[in-house]
Amino acid sequence: MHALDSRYLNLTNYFAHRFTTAGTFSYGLSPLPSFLVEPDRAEDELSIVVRPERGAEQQQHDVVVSRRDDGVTARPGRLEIALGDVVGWSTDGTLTTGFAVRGRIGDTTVDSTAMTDESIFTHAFGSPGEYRWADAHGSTLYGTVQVVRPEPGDERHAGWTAELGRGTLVHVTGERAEPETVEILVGQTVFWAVQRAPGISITDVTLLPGR
Amino acid sequence: MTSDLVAAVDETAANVLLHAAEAALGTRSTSGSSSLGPFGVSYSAAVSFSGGTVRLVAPGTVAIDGLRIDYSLSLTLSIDLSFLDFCLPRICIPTPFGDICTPKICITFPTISVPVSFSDHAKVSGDFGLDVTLSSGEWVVDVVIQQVRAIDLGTAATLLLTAIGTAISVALLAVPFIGPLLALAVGIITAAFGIAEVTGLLAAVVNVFMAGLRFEVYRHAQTFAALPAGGPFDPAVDVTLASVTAEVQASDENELVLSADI
Repeated sequence: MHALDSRYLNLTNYFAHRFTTAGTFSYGLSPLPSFLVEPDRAEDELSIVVRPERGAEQQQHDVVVSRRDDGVTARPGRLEIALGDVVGWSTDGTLTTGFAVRGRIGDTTVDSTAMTDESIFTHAFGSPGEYRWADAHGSTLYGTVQVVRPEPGDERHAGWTAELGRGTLVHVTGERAEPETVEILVGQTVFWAVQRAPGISITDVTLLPGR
Repeated sequence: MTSDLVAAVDETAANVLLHAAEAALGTRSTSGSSSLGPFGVSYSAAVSFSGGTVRLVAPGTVAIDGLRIDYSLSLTLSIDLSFLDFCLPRICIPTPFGDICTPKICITFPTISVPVSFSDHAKVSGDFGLDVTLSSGEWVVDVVIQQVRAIDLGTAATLLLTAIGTAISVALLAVPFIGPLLALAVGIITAAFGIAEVTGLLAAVVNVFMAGLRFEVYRHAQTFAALPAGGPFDPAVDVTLASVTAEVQASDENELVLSADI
């Protein structure tokens, strides 16, 4: 349910993209990874209009993805944003199998299952342990997240609730993660910022055959 | 009015009959549901009976003291963890693409099932009555529970309470996002019930097996050959027991007396 896999965006995940190209991003939402099925198309196609001018400040716009009777829906379904703004997708928990975002704007494909550039994936870790992750699409990218449960006596135990508000950044450039290893507390969130990558996923290696 | 046939056993012999009946009864099992404080419990249980001391009390009571019940319990506690529900806050950090914030994520905790296996024994004292029936051509004498006077669980409740606490801790460890809430959750859950509730649960399970408990102490064919055949012109002599009664008669030592009319 809370597996680390950017190909399936679940309750504990968030996928965001910064739009640096003006135009219309028409996209679909799939309850499964897009390499398995074509995205669902709503009656009114989901779209984000990116104006050619930048705003005074970069804005972040959130889209909530839900299950509905005949598939997947997003609120809001249409957005108009300024150049350089960020749009992020998350689920309200009704999509238990996860979802994926895929669409095009100009010559650029934005795909949450195969991230290339200007993309953010986050995962909140619910259980302690060592999570080795890699790219399900076969690149050499890899890393490790150590998740610890603070024990009584550890100052982070008493302040755990406040610690949940801290995020940890892993910067992915091409096929390299920096840092490769991070340590966090149970319940904390790791942000992967992806730049100039060949279309990668962040996937727990235990989910990958042959690893 | 005298009976045609009379058989009597004293308390020593009655103990022998009881222990043979316990062995013949073998292992009995059942399943059901109960509660432990605010939590539901389903269980399956298997028991066997042994030991105990018979006292014969006129006119019709077979009192058994210290009847040992060995039991194996498989409990499954159902614990709703929704009292732990909380939300991860909105988290903002600087990234190469500017400050990015996650949405608030609310975690709903599940109802978990906690399995607990436990074996021990109890000692029960109770009063049994006599029941004589004619079944499929055989007279059967049973002693049947009338009332349970006492159940001695020994230290079982304490041990079971500890076992449940351990099982809950193990089960909660696997719950995502419980984090340091683990100790809090264990504390809240185990504070919701104590020795009294565990004792009540064990006593309820023992009582399930005691309800309607009967031991067969005697069985005899209604019709049997009193004299074997002596030859082609001297056939066997069969006797039919028309009625059988059982009672405890008081004398210098009380006896269980079976009377039959032919």
